Amino acid sequence: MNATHTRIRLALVVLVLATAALPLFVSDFNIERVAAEVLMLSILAMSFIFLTSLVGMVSLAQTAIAAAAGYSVAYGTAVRHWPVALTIVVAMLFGCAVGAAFGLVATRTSGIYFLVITLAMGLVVNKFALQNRGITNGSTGINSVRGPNVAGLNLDNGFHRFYVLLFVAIVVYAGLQAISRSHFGSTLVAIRDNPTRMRSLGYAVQLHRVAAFLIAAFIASISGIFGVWFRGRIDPTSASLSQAINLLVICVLGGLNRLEGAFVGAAVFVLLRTYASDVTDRFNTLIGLALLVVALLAPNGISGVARRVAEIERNRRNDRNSRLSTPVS
Amino acid sequence: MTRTWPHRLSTKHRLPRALIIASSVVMMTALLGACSSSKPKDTVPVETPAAVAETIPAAADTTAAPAAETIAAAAAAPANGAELKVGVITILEGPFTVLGQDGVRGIEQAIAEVGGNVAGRPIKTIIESSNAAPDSAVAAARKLVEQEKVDVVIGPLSGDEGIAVKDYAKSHPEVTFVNGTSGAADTTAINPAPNFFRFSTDGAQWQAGLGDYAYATKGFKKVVTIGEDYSFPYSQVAGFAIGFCRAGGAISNRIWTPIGTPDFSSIVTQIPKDVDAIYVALGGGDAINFLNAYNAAGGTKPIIGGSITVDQSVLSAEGAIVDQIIGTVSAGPIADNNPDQRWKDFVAAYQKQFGAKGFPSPSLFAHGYYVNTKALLKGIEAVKGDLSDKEVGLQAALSKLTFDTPTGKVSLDANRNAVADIFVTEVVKNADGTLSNKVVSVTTQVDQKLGLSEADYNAIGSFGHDNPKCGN
Repeated sequence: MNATHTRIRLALVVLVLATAALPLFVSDFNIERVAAEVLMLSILAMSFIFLTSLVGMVSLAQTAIAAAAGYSVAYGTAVRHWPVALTIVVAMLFGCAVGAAFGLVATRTSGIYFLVITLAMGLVVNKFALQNRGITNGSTGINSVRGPNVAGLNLDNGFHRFYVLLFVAIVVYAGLQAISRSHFGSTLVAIRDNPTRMRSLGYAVQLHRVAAFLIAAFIASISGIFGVWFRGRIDPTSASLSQAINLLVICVLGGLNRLEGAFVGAAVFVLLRTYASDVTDRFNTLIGLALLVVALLAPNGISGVARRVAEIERNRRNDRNSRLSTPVS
Repeated sequence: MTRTWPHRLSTKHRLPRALIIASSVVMMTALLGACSSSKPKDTVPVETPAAVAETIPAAADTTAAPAAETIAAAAAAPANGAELKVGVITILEGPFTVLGQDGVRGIEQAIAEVGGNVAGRPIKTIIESSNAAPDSAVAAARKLVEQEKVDVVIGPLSGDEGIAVKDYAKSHPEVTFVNGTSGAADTTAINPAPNFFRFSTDGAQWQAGLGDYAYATKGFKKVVTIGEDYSFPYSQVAGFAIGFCRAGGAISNRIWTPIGTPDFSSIVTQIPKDVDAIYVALGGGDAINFLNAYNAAGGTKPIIGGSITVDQSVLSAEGAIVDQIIGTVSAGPIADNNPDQRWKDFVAAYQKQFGAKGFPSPSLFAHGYYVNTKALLKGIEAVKGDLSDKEVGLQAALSKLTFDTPTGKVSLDANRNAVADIFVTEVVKNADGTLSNKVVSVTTQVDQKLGLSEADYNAIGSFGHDNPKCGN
């Protein structure tokens, strides 16, 4: 097991280095637009996968929370011209506040009810943005939002943004891994598996769920803020049903049981969406087919396939090493 | 994250899984096969791919004979210039797909007229699809400019898309953008981009003359307006309101509905009893759904239509709404039955080039993309195909371009927005029972200010739910 862990860590380090070195191999567009979008969506997808796998809550409100934070940035930057630090703080606070409000209500339910209620909450954000033209400028959205200069980094510059996103994605990934290994994480898993028992053991089940939802909202807000800088604008479609479904597609493609799935799913999705149209005019069909095939053949997503391949390999090696005992896992 | 999926790989599962894999591969191949074989049937050859680059001359076999001759001549003479890469943003997914496809036909027709070459440079079009959301249009523009490195961009199609793409254009002053059919007034009226040109007039201009005609000729004194809740209908209602209110009319209330409303029955109940007519700025499916709901509710008030309300899909509708729409007045940049010879020639060339694959008559979208492409090609001709000066020369040439289109003379104002003729039409029943739009009045050389002084127009600001006010 330890050897495998070391190998996985090594693989992760190699992957990160390879991503950091991407600008040496691919065009500017692929860095500034494709890779940056993959990282941005990965962060959002990680918040979704964290909730789904660790807490067992499938939240369709993540894109809407990201949009809420994004709208704050756009409003603060392009409409009110607030200072950068204030804008970012307000956006993070607003994203988390929306998340907390949603969490307090939604965590009272579970399963399919949770999914539906978060979906409805997401659409509330969408309709609010559409109809409150004074703040959000309706369906036209807020244009001309330029990324700020933060600590010598120009977030309006595609390359700077790419490296900042890479760094943030790694931090979020490491943070969520740490949470999942912590006592808090174990408690969340236990609540997921048997909430009644945890309640009778004296745990504040509801509070833990809200806290987890808040963590996910925090991460979604980060992604939402970068999303606005990335697109230079925001409109209500960023909180629409189709965006929520896109995020679900990304997570199912990548695999709902592992954080790494977020990166795999986002990469496949963004590449398909950007380049499938070069091959066929039925590019939406292609994305749908990819989802169908993954759902059919690899219930654990693409990252699940990689894991399974490693598992089979290990089983075979164990078989060779000792033909006496049957491998357990 | 440590949760493992309940089932393990075992011999018991291997056989069915292999079967599943095999069957899904077969299914996928079959589906893909079906997709590719169905492709040529429902789309025009040149426009088929969403983003596949194609050199237009290849498809020009079907074009008019004179055009074919030009192509032959161009092929004989060695091309003395490098390929001109033209990026196109149009909508090829979702409910607006048929409109986007007609826009592409407009571009093809303009390019076929010059034989696929401009100033000795063969034209290569690269088409990117958007989905009516501004974000998607900007993403398409980015891919064209930053990845495909196109020389010029034509598009987009829808209102909010235009505002967003104009904003993006500012970050690439070295690339020239000409509009497709996007009709939001704000695109050029508020913070215009120096490299974004609109030769197709805006949604407010498209209503020029309609307000006066409705008030004076039709005798409507008070109306209610219904429009989809985004920038293009805002412009349409504004264009109508400016004329109608100036003539003395009143607007009781303005109802805004989301795009793609399936059921208008609750909206129909909001229509006041005391209005003389209903002004409807809805497009496509929304227009039909509204008319059906209104008719089902027993409504009989006359309809005044926006520019895309009474289009071919509504005119060819069947059932009870047919009687309802006879006599409907509307206004727009084109009129199907325009008696002008230039328009007749344009329609004939369109029909010859696209045949059954196109609409019976070019839509507003084919016309808008055609006019903008035509202007762009004339600009490039004027600078002899030389775009090496960061397109400064081309943009200067476009700014002062005046030319003749199938719908009359077009020139630009200081904000690079078109000044052109607008047609007021009325739905009439033909001898054979079909419906068509008859031209009842032409407003010549309408500018963006709609007859207001610069100060008055600017005082209105961005068109919205209650802006401009009625009666000031």
